[in-house]
Formats: sequence, C-alpha cells, structure tokens
Amino acid sequence: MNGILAVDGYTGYLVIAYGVTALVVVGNLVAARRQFRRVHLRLREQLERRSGRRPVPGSSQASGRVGGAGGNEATVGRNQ
Amino acid sequence: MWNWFFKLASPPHFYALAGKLSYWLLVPAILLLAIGTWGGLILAPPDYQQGDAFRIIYVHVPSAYLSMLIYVTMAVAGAIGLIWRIKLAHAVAASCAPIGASFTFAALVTGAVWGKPMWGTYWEWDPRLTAELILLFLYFGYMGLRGAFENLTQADRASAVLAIAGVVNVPIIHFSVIWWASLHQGPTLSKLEAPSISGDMLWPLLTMILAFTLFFLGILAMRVRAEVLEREVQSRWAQDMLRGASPVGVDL
Repeated sequence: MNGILAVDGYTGYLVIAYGVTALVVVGNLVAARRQFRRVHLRLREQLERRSGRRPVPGSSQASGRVGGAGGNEATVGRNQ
Repeated sequence: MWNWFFKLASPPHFYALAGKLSYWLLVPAILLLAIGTWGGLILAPPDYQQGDAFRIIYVHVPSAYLSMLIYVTMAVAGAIGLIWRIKLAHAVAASCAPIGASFTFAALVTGAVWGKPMWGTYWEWDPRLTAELILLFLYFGYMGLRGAFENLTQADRASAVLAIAGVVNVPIIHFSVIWWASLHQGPTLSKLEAPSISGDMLWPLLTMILAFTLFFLGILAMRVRAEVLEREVQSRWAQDMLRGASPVGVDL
C-alpha cells in the first residue's frame, strides 16, 4: 500500500508539516469562535451598564449586578 | 447588480448573511480537507524523485496560495474602504490579517520542512522564500499599525494604505521563480494547459486548494461578524440584537 504507511524515511517531516497545518486550521477556527463570543459578551455588558437596565439573561453580569432598574453606571458594579 | 452590492455592504444584512455563510462554507471545507488529505497521503503515488516527501505539497501549496489570496483580499478591501468609505470593507480587511498571517506562517514552516530533505537546508535566502517572509512581516506590520491607533477611522485608513502598498510583494512572490535563479521549483499549477504534475497527484492538490479557500471564507465570515458588531454597537440593529435572546455563540 502506497502512501503514509510506506513513507521512505520522511515520516518526521510529514508529521511536522501536517501537524503545523492542522494546528493553524484548528487555531483559526477556535480563535474566530472565541473572538465572536468575547466581543458579543463584552458589548452586551457595556450595553447593560450604559442603559442601567436589568441584565440580559445569560450575560456574566446577570448575577453580579448590585444596581437595579433605573440605576446608572456609578451604581452598577460587580460582586467580587 | 448595484442594489445587490449596496445591500451586501449594509452591516445588518451582511451580519445575518455571514452567520449562515460561515456554516455553509466551513462544513464543506472540513469535508474537502479530509478528502484531500486522504488523497494526498494515501492515494497519490510517491514522486519518482522526491519519494513521499513530496506529500508536503498538499499542505504547503494551499497555505502559500492562501497567504497571497488573503493579502490581495485585504488590500482590495482596504482600497474599497478608502475610496468608497464603506465601513464593512475595512472590517473585512481587518479580519483578513490574522488569518493571512497564520497561513503565511504555515507556508513558511511547511516549506522549510520540505526544504530540509530536498535541498539539505531548512532555510535559504532565496527570492521566493524571502518574499514570503516579507509577506509575514507585512501582516504583522498591518496588525501592529492597527493596534497603534486609538481612533478606529485612523487605524482603518493607515492600515489600508499599508495593505495597498504591500500588495506589490504578491506578484514578486509569484513570479520570483521565473524572474530570478531560484532554489525553489518553478510553477506547477499555473500552467493549466500542461501542468507538470500527474493527474493522480493533481486532484488531491486541487481539492485541498478548494478546501483551504472555503475554509478561509468561512473563518472570514465569522471574524467579520465580530468586527461588524463591534463597529456597529451604537446602531439600533446591533443594540436590538445584543439585547435579544439570541445565542452568544456563532452559528456553528
């Protein structure tokens, strides 16, 4: 059987080349997903702080906000 | 045609479209990557001179091709943003840079790994290799320049000028093996009327090139969504979308 199972002494080179490419492909996928999640979450939190309304369900501030509806940025904080 | 173009340039329309596109581009891309890898590693016969080391071509060539394609995309998007002041174009350009840098890095590493058994060295200051390394520095420079500005409009304009100026490096990379005496092999695929590669070896390569292209477009769609959202956070549609109960994750 030709191919990867019969590589003539080049296994190490092939593993490095395909490994680096796989890392780049997976890395791009993970980085793009993380970037979207991070931006989405950060903007939601900014929006909540600015509007001073009740936090959007699911955001990280939903349980950390001490200010209620009608509050402003000075009254809104996180329980840390 | 113009209506379609203007509709596409509208951030809310593009945001919604990119969410669907990223899925429909990435799924076939991953399938084609699997098929191309199988074809390249298992089905393609060994090269009569290079033996099995030639199989690096299936990751090296698509990475190198993508590094240039992404740079051209970035420069064209930057030019569109500068000339027609379309914000979406700047978002596209900014999103291209990290993807392009990563594939340029992959092209350089896979090239070096291929060079060692074939040329006896990982690196040579050959015109093709040097120009590809300059491309990586151009990507780094582009990202560094963007990061140096507090003001987004200034960052967009300055980085677009750099992207446009740097695009001259792309034909240098492509034609370097023809213009100068080079250690790097000459063109294989661009001679479509008589490619210097057997059909058994060619189809996995074309499959991988298609897979990489679809992958780039899918990742670009994901990244542009985040970029658009960040830029449009003051607009009504983005605030409505952020306040809504839509899932935080991407459509994948």
